[in-house]
Amino acid sequence: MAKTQDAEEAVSSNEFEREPVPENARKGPLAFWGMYAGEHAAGTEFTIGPLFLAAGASLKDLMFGLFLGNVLAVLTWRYLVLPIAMKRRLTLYYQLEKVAGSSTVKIYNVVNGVLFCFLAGAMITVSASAVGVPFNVRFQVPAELFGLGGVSFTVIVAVIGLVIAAVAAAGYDAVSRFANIAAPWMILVFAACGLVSLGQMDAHSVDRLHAIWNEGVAFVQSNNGQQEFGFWKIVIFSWLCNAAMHLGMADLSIFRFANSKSSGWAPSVGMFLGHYMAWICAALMLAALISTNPAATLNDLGKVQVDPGFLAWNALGWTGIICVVIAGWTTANPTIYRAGLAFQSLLPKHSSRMAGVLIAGLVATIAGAFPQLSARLLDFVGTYGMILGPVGAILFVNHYLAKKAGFLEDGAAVTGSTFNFAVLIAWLLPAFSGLYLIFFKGVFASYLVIPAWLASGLLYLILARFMFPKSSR
Amino acid sequence: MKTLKTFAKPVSWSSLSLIVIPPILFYSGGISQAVMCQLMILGTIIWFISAPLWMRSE
Repeated sequence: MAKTQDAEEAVSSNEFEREPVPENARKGPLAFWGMYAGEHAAGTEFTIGPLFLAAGASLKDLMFGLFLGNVLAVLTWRYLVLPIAMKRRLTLYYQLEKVAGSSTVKIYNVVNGVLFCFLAGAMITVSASAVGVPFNVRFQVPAELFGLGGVSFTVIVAVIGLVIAAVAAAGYDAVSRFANIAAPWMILVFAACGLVSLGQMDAHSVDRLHAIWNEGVAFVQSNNGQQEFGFWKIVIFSWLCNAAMHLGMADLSIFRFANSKSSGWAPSVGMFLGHYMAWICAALMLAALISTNPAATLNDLGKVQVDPGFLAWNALGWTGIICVVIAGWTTANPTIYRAGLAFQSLLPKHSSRMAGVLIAGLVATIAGAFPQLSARLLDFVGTYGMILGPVGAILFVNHYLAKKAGFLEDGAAVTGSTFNFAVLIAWLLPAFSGLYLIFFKGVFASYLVIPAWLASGLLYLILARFMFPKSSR
Repeated sequence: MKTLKTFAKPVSWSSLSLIVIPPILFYSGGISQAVMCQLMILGTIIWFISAPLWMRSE
């Protein structure tokens, strides 16, 4: 997954936040290729990869499903996000403000901020799982959704979370530079995880690898119960795990600097290094542990669980531990920082950025203390995309259909409104409906991203015609 | 300082060979996992000492 809007700073500075990017500030394709290369080998990959095996995915489905899903993701960036970004040259936030009004954008920021906190919390858990290994403190996922992971582990989470929050509050530039330094090394370590895991399993042929993988799936099913994660589920998940960035148009903020359409292909390097290679290599680590020491994969409840730190330690020793810690930290840090900026908009005007970031850090640390968040990362990622994705549909409809459908383009800016109820209804109605289906009907969250996006776009198309007809100009 | 940076770049890129080659050797049965881990941590240390010397300035 992407390390949030930290990527924007990698491409350019925070200039032109409320104006189109001028021609002399635009960047060639290489800037975007370099940025996306380092962005998707993150802490989340250490958790998501093994979760596929734990969920019952076959190796063949995983390899082909991830391929197709990542192709679809890249096409979405290229053909949905890039054209609007290159036409308007605005950040997502400013574009949204023009359509929805500044007060509506505050709501979006807070929702985004809360989701960022949960994502950062999961990454704090990932780092804690690695820190705990040398102290013989294993990551334990309790049965209850709001159960803690044991006193020692919770203490580790608290310490790591507070350190990350303090560093983020002090300004995350140093961590950002460190993340750039770590990126090439981290990508190679991910690859090494996969190769070493193959060696541990003595998997020197494709048939043997398939056999070991299937034994691993059978082991998980026998301990955790029957589950399925078929080909199309993998495709949908891998396509839409970054829905907030592409369908949700968050990467307008990145691609507004593009001077060439070929820049739109840049996410492919991130997708295939991170969401293909890194995920499969991380999954192979779990397969190897099940194959060589199955008892070590079981928690106190006798269930197979994904312990990223222990998996990395089992594969690469101290290098693996360091990689998991760095991957979790460099994902959590900018995420907490951005969540803090979002919360700052709610605080009194004289409140400092530090206050917002510390609040975000506290929320993330508390979230990280609940291991179920990390264990359910596949569901969380889909929920994240389902909630934020629809905003992109509204921007899409505003950009392409406003004139044809007879309502004001950038309605809030034209009418001077700070609230656009058409946007609120079009966004929140599908989002809340999706949340109901996820939490009360057990629908896999990623399945709801596209329907929510389409529903949101259609609702906005209808509502905007009544609330912002062209005649109201 | 300039000399340090001149040497730091090839040293750091070379250190990544200690991340790539030992796993290959382990997979092919050439070295044990313990030796592989030791070589990789050595490569990791060299990378994080040498890379900041030139990456910050580029």
